[in-house]
Amino acid sequence: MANPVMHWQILTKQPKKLEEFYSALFGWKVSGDNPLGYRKVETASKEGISGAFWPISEKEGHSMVQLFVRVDDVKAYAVKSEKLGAHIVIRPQTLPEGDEMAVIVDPDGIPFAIFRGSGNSPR
Amino acid sequence: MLEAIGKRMGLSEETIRAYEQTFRRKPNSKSLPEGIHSFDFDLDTFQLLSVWYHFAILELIRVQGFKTDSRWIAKTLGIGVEEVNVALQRLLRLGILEMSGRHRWIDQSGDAEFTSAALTEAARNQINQELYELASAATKHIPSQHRVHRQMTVAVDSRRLSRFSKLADEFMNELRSVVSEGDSEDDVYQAEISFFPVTTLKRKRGEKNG
Repeated sequence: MANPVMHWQILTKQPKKLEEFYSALFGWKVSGDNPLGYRKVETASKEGISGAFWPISEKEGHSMVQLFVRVDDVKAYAVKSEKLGAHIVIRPQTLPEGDEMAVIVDPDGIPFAIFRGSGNSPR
Repeated sequence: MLEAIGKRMGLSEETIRAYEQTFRRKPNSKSLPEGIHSFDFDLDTFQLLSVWYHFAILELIRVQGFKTDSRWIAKTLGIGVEEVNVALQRLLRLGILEMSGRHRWIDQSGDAEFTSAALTEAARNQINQELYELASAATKHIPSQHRVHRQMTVAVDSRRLSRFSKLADEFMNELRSVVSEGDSEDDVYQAEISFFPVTTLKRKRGEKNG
């Protein structure tokens, strides 16, 4: 199976402010109507991929963009990533809508996520 | 391992000891996974210990009718969805929460011994402040039949403070034991013991009370 980048996520200390900013700038539609209150972004274009905003604590970390790669076996890819020099920040978890995901930091310190699910983003 | 990471991060010996004590586990508890500790270990742990709703979320999992839904958790605890999600990420990073199914979250803290003695002073002060505010809010918004408050003002020999502290630990252990006898939890409560001087005798010159 190919492993495409399916989704992006902006980790931000100010999700509401960025939601308003990008909506005003590009006309993106943002909805948080899901069990985790995940602010999903619809760009309303057939091109490119859609994304989301996810909050981080105001007291720690820094805002960044994170990529989501679709895999067919989250646990197997998590193990493989470790063997290749990455480390797992969030072990494989099953999300409230049934998809599986994990967050990994690559050998250069950049965090990314892998997920397994039928949609274009983890649910 | 904690000691090695703590030293690498420049944490003080006292802080490292506090972390070790906080996550000291009973033999049958799962150990935290390798690798988890090294990510923002100090900040995550400080926030975990100093913000009250992390443990409230973990306890909420045991309550009848719990929903794996940040919106429901936020409403139930009276906090924001984003605060819930930041807390969930932290609990996942630290390996003390596991999402194992659509409707199944597992508290992996096991029988970790979490006591105020394990906190750094800064974390302790912060969580004390938050708990006082919660207690104050409870007196305003929660009917008296659903809560318990006890007060006593008494002259003491302050050199015996360590004995009073030990007594508080014993009471908390007893309370935990009694609470664990129940098998149909339907709410999450906060217990907190304060024992502090109400006079200005131990204060620096010129400081006032209140």
